[in-house]
Amino acid sequence: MNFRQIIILLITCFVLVIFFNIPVEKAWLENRILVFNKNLIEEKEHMDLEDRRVMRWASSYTAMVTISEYIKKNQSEDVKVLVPPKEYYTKRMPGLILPEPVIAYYFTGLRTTTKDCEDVYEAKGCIIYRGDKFEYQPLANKEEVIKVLEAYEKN
Amino acid sequence: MNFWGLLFLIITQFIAGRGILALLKIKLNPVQTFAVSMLSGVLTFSLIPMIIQLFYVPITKTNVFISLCVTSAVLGLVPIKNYDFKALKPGNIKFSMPYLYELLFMGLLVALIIPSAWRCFYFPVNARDVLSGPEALAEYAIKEHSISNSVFSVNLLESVPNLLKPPFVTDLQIIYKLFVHPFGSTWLIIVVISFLTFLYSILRERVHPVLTGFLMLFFMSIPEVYGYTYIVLWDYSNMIFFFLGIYFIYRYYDTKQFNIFLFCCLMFGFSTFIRLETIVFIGLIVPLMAFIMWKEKKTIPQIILNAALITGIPFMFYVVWVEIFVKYYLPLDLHVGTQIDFTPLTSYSEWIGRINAELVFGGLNIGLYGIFIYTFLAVLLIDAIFFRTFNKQAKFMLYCIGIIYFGLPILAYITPWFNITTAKRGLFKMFPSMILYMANSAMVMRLSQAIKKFEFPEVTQKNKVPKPATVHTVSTTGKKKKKKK
Repeated sequence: MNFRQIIILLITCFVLVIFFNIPVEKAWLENRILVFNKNLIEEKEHMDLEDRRVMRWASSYTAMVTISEYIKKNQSEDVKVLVPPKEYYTKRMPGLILPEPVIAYYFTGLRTTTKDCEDVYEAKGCIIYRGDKFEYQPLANKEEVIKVLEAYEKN
Repeated sequence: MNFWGLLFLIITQFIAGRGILALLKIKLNPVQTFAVSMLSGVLTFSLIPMIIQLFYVPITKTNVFISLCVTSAVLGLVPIKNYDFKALKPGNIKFSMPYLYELLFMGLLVALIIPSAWRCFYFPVNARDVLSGPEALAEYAIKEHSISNSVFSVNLLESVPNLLKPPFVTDLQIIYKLFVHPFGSTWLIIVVISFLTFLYSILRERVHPVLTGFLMLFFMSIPEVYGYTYIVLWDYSNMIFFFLGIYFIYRYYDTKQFNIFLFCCLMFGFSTFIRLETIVFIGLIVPLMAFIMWKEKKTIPQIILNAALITGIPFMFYVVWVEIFVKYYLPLDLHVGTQIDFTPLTSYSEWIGRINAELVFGGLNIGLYGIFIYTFLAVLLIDAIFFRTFNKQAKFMLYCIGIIYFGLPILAYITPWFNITTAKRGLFKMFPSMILYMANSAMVMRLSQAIKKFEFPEVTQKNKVPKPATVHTVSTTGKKKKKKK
């Protein structure tokens, strides 16, 4: 390697320092690349697949898993669950996100319905806020579904 | 993670892709051969679960395994006479150690891709469009041995578009979930690394390694594009294959080899298989193609044949998915005709305005694309004002950039699902062409030559053609004559 190539190398390093100090490039480097080193240590301690699902999907996943496990223990597995609209549950639990029916089915195999679905009156259970928490409540017939929908509407 | 499964897939994908290159007698340098083989192999494999289902064969691990092996074997062995095995002899393998500044960039680029590779492996798929479509379909396809599965019996609400997209992601998720890892996903980093390797190699052919490194850094540091190197969606792969189509159609004009044209049609076909609306942009390439052929005094039938192939081959991918698979194999009633709307809510000019205001020159542009677009425009302006010269490939790339920029709003007339997010991702298709333009730009090429001249002045001196020496001879008239040697 001749001295001219060393000069090119030094100039390249200098230009790279300037490049990574441009605000938008610096932000990209810090938020996408350097943060990786910090996250890697924690991530390596959570190599279990379920942990990784929870880390990625957060409350959207854990909520459905909790509902699904309760239903499997206490109800028939083939139950259609009426889930509340976003305004209803975010008012009571701001960080919560309940997934749309396809994603809920993908997460847990549970079939869900919402107030906008055609099969809403086929729901055999619902999620409703009682006391200071969300509960699962079985539904016997269409009239009970209507009552729950009204409760969601009252918000 | 099943390492042996991953190795199996990498090897068989390479064999399948290498076979396609050999079948069409595509000659590239070893690095490009490897990269394009991997890319072609991954896309070929992405067709397999769908093809299995077309023949009503259950999607099981055994059936998929056999199909992958047969595909690789057939594609790998059929063109066996076209392989240049002599190139593998030790004496013929030439390797030169990169210079230190090139190693610096290689190390930097590898360091930038490591977080993407880890995230592809570590995290499950997260994008809502994929979770509510291909990922759910893939998961239940493995359980129920069919892409047409119980996911379609759930309340679909707004998931329908995602469930009806071509099964590029679905099929690769099926394969990688079966053989590698329950989260699938690792195919994405294979595609990304192969593409970046190819891009590096073609830039390296044009400009000094230092400038190649900077161009690669510019490309990789586009914030939104970088995010898609580990978020499983369609757009990064769509960008890659559309660019490969553009690159090889340019090579066809350069070399006039029809086999390269066929390969370009295949790349466009793959690109259409990933996102169906790509066929609109392929259609917009036809006028340029026709013009170049007309200038080269090709006959009208030849022009029509090429136009038919470049649109027909991608269209076949569209037909197989929409008119055959969706219609006869999926439990949904969808007719493409009802999607075309010649009076969308937002007009063409309004969409151009929105794209400029929200994506290119304002709104979220810096957060999405960083300084990339501005850098490209600066290089373009300098070329236009100071150098006023554009080589053939530069002009070609500018046309292709224009196709995307002016072609995107046309999608609003084709599909009701076109929105600003679609446009945001659709603009990705411009970026590799922008990089290749910059590598061909007069400014960058002059800079490249200047760096080479500085680095190797003695080589530059030797390459200069010497001035002819002047010799004096005496004529018969006694007058001296000057004679040039």
